Amino acid sequence: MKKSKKLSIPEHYDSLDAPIFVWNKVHETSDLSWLLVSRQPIVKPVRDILEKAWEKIYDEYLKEFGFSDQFLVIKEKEIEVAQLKLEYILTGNRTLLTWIAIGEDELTAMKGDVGRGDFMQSQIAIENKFKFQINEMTTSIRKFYSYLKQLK
Amino acid sequence: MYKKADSDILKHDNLVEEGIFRDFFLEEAKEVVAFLPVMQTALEKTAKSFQGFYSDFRVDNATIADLKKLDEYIKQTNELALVSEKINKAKIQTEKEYENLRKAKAQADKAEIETSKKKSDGIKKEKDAYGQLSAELAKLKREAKNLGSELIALDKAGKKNTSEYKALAAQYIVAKNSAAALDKQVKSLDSSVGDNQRKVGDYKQSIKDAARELGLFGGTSGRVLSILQLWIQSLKTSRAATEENTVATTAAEAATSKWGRAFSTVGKAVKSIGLGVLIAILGSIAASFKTTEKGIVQFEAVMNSIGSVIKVFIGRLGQFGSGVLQIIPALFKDISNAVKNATNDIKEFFGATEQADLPTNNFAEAAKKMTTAFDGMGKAIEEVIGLEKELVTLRRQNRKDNLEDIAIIRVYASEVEKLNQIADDQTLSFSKREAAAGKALEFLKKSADAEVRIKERAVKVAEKDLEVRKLQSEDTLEAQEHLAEALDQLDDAQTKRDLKYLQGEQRSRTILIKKMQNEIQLLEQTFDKEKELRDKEIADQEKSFAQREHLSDELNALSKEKYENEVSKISEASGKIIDANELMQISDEELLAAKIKSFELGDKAEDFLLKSITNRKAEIKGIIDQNKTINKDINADLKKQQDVRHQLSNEQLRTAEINLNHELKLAEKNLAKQKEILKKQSENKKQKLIEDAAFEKKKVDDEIASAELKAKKKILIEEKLKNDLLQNANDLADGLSAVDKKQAEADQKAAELRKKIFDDVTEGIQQGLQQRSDLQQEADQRDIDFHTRMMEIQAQQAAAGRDNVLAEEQAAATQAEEKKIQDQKRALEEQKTITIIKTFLDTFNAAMEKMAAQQKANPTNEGGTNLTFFQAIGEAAAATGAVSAAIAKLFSGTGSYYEGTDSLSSTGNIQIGTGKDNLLIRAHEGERIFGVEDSAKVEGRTNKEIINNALMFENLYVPQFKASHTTTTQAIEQKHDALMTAAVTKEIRELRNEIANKPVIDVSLDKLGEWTRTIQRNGLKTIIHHKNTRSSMRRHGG
Repeated sequence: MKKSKKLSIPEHYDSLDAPIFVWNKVHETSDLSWLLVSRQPIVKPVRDILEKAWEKIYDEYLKEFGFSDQFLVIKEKEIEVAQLKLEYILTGNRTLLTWIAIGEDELTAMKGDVGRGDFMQSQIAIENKFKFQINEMTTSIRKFYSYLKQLK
Repeated sequence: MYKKADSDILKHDNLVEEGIFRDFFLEEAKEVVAFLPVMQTALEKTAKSFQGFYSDFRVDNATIADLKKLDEYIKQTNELALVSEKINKAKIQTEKEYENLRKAKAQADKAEIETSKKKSDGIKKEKDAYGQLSAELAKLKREAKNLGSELIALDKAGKKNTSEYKALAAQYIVAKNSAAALDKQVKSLDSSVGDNQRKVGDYKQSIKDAARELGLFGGTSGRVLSILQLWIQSLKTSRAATEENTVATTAAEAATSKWGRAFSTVGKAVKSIGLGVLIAILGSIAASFKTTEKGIVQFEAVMNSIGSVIKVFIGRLGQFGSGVLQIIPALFKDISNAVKNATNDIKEFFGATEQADLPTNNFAEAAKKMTTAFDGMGKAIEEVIGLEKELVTLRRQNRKDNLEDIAIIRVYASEVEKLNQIADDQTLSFSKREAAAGKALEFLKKSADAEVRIKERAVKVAEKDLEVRKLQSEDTLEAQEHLAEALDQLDDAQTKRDLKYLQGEQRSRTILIKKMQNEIQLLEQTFDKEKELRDKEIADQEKSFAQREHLSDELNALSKEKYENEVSKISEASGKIIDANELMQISDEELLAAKIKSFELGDKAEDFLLKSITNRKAEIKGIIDQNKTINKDINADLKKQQDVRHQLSNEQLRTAEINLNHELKLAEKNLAKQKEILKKQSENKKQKLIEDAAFEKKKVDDEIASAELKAKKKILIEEKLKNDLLQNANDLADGLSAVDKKQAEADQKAAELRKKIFDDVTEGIQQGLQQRSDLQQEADQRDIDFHTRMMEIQAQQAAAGRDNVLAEEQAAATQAEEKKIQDQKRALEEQKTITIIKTFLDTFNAAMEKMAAQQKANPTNEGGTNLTFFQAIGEAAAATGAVSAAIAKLFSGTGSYYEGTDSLSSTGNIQIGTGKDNLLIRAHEGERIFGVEDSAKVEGRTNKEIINNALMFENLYVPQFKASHTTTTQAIEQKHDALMTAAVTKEIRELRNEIANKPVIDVSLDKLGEWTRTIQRNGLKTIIHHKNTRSSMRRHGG
């Protein structure tokens, strides 16, 4: 696990070597202060740095494990609906509004499906498969998702 | 509790979603609709750039930064689509307006065709009028002659001194003078249009006079004509001889050559009859020829041809230079002599003997030159004759065409004058004045067109003339001058036409503007009058309500007095004490009967008492009902007042908008036309300067021999031309700049006017809302007062232990109080909303204007500095937020109206009261205020940033996170779902294309006998409205 320490910047995680606990907490709360090694209230300059760190972690994650199929379908669908809207703006063809509405309904349904995933379920599945307990504080993100990849 | 920056309190989007802003924006604020094309263009431009982004985007290889960008684009696309939808709705509304305008225009076109037809008939009549005038002149002359003849007859009969003769003489003088006056007028008329036919008689007469003076009379024309023919024949023969190079080789031969013979023959002829006779007879021939149209053309062509032949001949002779003098010196010498003194020198001039004595030593040289000098002369003569004929025919045709145009100018000039008088007559109706100005404008244009046509013909003639002169190797300077003059006149006429037309348009516009101003004034007066009437009606109504209330009170008092009297009578008669009020408070019938019975008054008196109580109760009930009805009527009336005021206000707005749009259109057209004229004038001047310079250069070439001087003069001319052209360009720039300034002023004026309209409207709405609020408060107070009174009555009932509805009345009173509070709150909220909308529109308009100006100045948006549509919206929204916050602060002092408001700690300059919880803020439904702790966590971040962050997690990270934790089974299931979705999506897409291209028929039969069909295909919508007429369903009789 890599810990970055910079002058006047609190120590924080910025790679897939961060504990899976941090990863999980940030997703649950949308609060980037979980990236700090010693959690504390953050000010704007720190937040900016944490946002960059989070993006870095995420880019690493995507590079290593890629997007999930469902996520890709959703994004493609979002683009398709957006393109339909642009076509409507340029042509004024109101029949497109129907297809936009259908597309948006589809998107809602797709996003609803995503909710079925659960971190705890994944953790239990890994522990069942590999017959050991996962320590969230010491298991890195990379390692956790590598286990999960093996599981699938 | 978190207190946030100004922009977070009330969102523009909230206004849109609530429909308040949308309705106002798209349906009522028409001035915003004027920006629709600009908005549409901005939208389309943005949409196209977005399309490029989406088509280039690859999700598979995207980074988080890419995905964030994608999310931002999708968000903006959604906003664009929302705005586009609003614009489309506004367009539909505009199309309806357009349809109405189209119908109005069709009617106007029809009216114009009718007017044109009438005018055409008018011209025909005018043409016929000339014939009538001539006929009248002939008639008057005949009458005068007849009278004169009668006078002669009377004179002969010795009746000169009789009253009959004198009366006839007086008639004769009148008829003669009338004929002379009319004759003069007609001649003047003819002369003004270049028609000199009527002068032929005079010409004939003058020729005859001349002949008479010379002692000669007609009858010899045949001889003269034959002489002319001989002369022409001789010329032709000599031409043939020349072409065969059979020129004379000796002086003697030259003297007797065919050329010589020709001159000799003519000379002999002239000598035999005398020059005076020749002139007289030529005149007679001319007069004879001029009696027919064909003859006129022939004569003029022949005369010109003869002139031309002579010119060609002389031109060729000129090639001999001084040599010709050595051959026939006497000829040239005697020509001048003949002109000076024809009668004395004619013999010498045409005699052949002198020419035969020509010296021979120079002849060989002269003859040598002659052999080439006459080469091709016959062909040149033929060409010249042909051209001369063409020129004469063209001139003749032009004169005839000009006559028609002059007639048009004359007819229309008087017509335009009359029409302008009507247009300027302020005592007439605007419709008449407008119609007259429109007609005048049309006539003016036709008249100006006719003037231009005349000048164009003059140019054609001048061009042809120049061509002929050039071919004849003549000096073309004069012809060039004529052409330049004709071109100048044509330019002047064209410019004059444009200016006249502009002036005519100006007149129409002035009337239109005056009309609109009057209409507005009238509407305002009507509005004031209607308002006055309404106010009076309201006052009357209120008076009527007060009277009704007063009557109700009086009725109550009388009823009470009557009841108390009746009870008192019974009490006195029976000697029992009866409490009238106590009896009234008993609502239970059995208890009341028992109470009455307890007085032991006897059946009759008891019945009477019961009847009195019952009557009194019934009367009280009636009075209460009446009061309720009055209250209801008053409330209904108050609502009606509000509706009427709203309608009047809408009408004011509509008229002001029409006026503004008209003014804008007129100003735009006017200024554009002015620019056009300025450019045209400048271009004309430029051409003239260039032509003048060319002419000057040619003159230098022709007149100056010294090469050095020639070069210097040319440089001078060129420098002057450059200078003049520069000055002309500067003048044009100044002129255009002045027009641009006017345009800017007009734009500024329009913007101010638009703002004024909007301010008026907003103020009107504010006033209306205030008024409605006041009226509502009044109505609410009435309800409260009524319930309070009822509550007092019911409280008395309750105090006496009687049945009562006190609780219901208390509830009703509380409800009325609550309603009043809510109404007050709503009124305040409305005022606030109006202010926000006004600010939004003001800022949005300014931003859109700025955006339009930037687009105009930098169409390709180089450097990406142009304001975007969303930035314009953003600026307006930001201003709205600032106003919203200021209003919230302002209203925070009236916290008593706001339930559910939260207090914040004091900040900045806003310090109300002394406590820490003294600043109030109101949140709209669905809005959120963060607590202190949460606020501290996001300190320094705007709400937008917080929302973006939250949504980013929701849209970007969380779905991916959750998807990654899906179990194997779920993953498979989801994969399957995803595939299914993809398959279904594909199918839907195909179906969509199929359906989009399929005609859709929508039939609405909402009204009996009327229905519409909507057919949609390839995105195009066709609406057909069917209307059936049918016989009336009304039953007759019975």
